[in-house]
Amino acid sequence: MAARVKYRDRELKVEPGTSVRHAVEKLGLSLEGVITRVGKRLVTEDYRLRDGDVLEVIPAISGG
Amino acid sequence: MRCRKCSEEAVIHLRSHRLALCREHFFERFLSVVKRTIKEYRLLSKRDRVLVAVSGGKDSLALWDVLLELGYSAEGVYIDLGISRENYSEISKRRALAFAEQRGIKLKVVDLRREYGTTVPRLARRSTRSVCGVCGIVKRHLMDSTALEGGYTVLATGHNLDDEASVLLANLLRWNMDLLARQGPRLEAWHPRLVPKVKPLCLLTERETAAYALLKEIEYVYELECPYSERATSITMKEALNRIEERSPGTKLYFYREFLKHREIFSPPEGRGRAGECEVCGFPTTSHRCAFCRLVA
Repeated sequence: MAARVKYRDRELKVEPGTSVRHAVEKLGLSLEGVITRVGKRLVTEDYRLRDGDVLEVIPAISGG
Repeated sequence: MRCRKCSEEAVIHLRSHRLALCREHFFERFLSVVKRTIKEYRLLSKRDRVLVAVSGGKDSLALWDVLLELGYSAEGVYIDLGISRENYSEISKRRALAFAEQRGIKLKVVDLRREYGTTVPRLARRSTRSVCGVCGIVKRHLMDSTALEGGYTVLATGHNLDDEASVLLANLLRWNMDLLARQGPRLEAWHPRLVPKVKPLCLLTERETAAYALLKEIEYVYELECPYSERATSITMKEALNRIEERSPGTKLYFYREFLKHREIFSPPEGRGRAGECEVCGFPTTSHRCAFCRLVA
């Protein structure tokens, strides 16, 4: 029983019930610099991951 | 978290505004901020022929989408810089072309390799400037010349609030008075060969433009970052500002907006009125040849 968190080429498993905020912090990232989605749905930081969810953490910061 | 306006499930939480919004109300807000920015800083009129500088990233494609949505006549230019590492330029070009094709709008591709027989990494190797420095010169020149040749009246870029706040911070840290005096949502054409440059997304954060592009299902390059940008100063500045923003939401917007209110205190750059013209391309320069023509010579 787990949810997965994907960020670029990194992937980690977290317990169901983990909040998006906690998952992003676990990656060492700032919520200000990312967008989070489960499937095609964007989710806010209080969303709690369910068993089988894949949370995609998309970087919003770009250089140039 | 629920949308503050309708209680539907929220898709984004804008901590700086203490505002959670659903998809529909997020779009409504996004368009309204762009409209207000255009009006407040007199960026565009419906009579303008707008050329959008398109990179294949979220900001430029979101900008192009929103300008079309607001009824502006907007065509695009993509500059192929020849960055072959990670197939970056090729992938970016494909995304930009796909966007234009889906909407049946014109995208002009300017290919540095085809037109000048070189690429940005190659130019940077024989220059004392950084890759980002060379890239900036090349993009500025090719965007300006495309706008002039195509008869466009204004050039729009996808600079967002994070871009603007990070440049402002970098310029302040160096007290670069020339650049501080020039920074803003609209840069006037100060030479007959130039067109005004505008930044209609400058009051929206990168998170907002990314969310807009994702919710609109715009296929932008999000899986890749320019391979040369890893050590870019702009990213360091953005990360620093985001750390401050986390502690004190709204700081970025306040920092930039207050600067715009007070920027007259920075004196306008001197010497521009005395600029001559490049003997090769005719664009303004203080030297015999402009920086671009010196690079590609």
